[in-house]
Amino acid sequence: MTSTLTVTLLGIVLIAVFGFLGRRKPTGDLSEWTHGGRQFGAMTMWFLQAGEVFTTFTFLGMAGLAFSGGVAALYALPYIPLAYVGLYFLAPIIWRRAHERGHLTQADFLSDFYDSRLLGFITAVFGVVFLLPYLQLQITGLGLAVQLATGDQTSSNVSMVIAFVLVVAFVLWSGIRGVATTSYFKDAIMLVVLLVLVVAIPAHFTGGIGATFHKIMATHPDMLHIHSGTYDSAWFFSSMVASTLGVLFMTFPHQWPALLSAKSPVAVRRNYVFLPVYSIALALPMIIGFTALVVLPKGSKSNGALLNLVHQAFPGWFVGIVVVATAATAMVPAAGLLIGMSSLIARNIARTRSDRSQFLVNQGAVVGVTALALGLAIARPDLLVNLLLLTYSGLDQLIPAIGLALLARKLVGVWPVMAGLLVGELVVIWLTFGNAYSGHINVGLVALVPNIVVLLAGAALERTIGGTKQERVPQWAEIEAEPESLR
Amino acid sequence: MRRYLIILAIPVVALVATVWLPFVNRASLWFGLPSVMVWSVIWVLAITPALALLEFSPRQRDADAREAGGGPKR
Repeated sequence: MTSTLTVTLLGIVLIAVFGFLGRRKPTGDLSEWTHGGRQFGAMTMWFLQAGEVFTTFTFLGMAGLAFSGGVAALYALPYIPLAYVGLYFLAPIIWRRAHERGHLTQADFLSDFYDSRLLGFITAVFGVVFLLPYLQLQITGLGLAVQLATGDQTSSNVSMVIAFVLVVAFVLWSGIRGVATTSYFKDAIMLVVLLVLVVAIPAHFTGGIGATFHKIMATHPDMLHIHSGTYDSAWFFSSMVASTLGVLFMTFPHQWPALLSAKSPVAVRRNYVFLPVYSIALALPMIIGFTALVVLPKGSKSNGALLNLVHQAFPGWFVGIVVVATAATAMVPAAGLLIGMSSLIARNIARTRSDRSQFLVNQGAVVGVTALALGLAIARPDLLVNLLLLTYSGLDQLIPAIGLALLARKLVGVWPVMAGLLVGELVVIWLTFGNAYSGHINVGLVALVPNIVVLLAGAALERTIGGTKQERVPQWAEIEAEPESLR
Repeated sequence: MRRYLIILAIPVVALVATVWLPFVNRASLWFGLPSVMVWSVIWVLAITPALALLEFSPRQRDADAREAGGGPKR
């Protein structure tokens, strides 16, 4: 066994140990398992939500995108902080409503507001289907890192299996508390590794960061600005807006457990004040990607750019540490994804009769979903690649439903919302796979137009036939004032 | 409150407009880094103090105190 693989496997086990240490007490309660009893302060929330920002896509993909698209990769830098600005105002509304009404999932929130289990079921199914390839991406990202570092496919497969068996184990054992404790380790190792790499790699290959960019200025000036081509202004702007709206309206089901685990709206808000500072760390892998631009031959695999340079510049044991950091960016977000997906299955897809059976379905879903994603990652790694194209654009179609549900009054009934959602999803599928669209504007944004048009038409029809009651959502103060016997 | 919201709008507008600003979106280096990168990092960093002004304003403190006393207000 090489030093790289030894360090990698030890690191993977260490990440899992942090996950196991997160457990406070045995629990059979889904709310405690999913939200940690809603007791997390701003610091824990900060790590949990920061954990969602840095995935394998960020670590390997950002360097790869800078390598292939230059500064166009910077669309990914501001979209999350921009969403945080809006979430500073919207997230406390979601937290309070969920706290009052006992929501555990995104689908709970929607089905309660629109008073429709069917809508909850449909959004839960979309959530699980769209997140499955995202989960697989984390697994294949880890496998890719090990393969590039060791040059051995068997080591890659073994690492994927060990890492994700351990993820399942600590997620089952500790729930969201395990995700929180692994997040501390993940962010620490990832930041240290990125800071070392961003100084050492340019210094090793070009003489420094400044020298790297002066070389790019001389040899690839087009990579320093956004211009016509695949990554043009329309692509940059629409990708940034679509991604911002997706995060702002909490369209990713796995965003919900982290938010709902906060102990107060103040903890929620404080988190969004300070998270933007952390987001600038996204620029670090991009700088490494730019270095690859002047070092690696044209046509090199973009996603392997960062590890390719690491392999050339560092001894085996340090390559192993970089792979551990990459593994952490796969395992920790995957654990969060599993909690988001399994709770959707247990609460909104499966029909259970008791809290106990709901918890068992949840635990079974953690194992089943991971087994499916892991099996596909090893046996058919390309099967879900196309589905991944739908993940962001498909989840963006939930924006009108969630946006309207944040209002204090129900302005539109469930049927127009559901019709708009289904039309939006169909348009996303048609534009993505039907060869019907060659523009550079983000497909998710394009599909939002028919989604909203259908919703508005449905709302107008609903009012015409007199089916709309502008029901008011009870406010916190009213619920507090309500006699106990009426609750 | 309105003053704080206007301050918060400045980094938001600056970031959204990045690609349309000719003095930013061009092949140039600021402090040895791409101008688009420096611009984006500066305005992302500016979001935190802009939000902090709101968060730690006397008005927000009062609202939190009221909420702690008798249930949150939307």
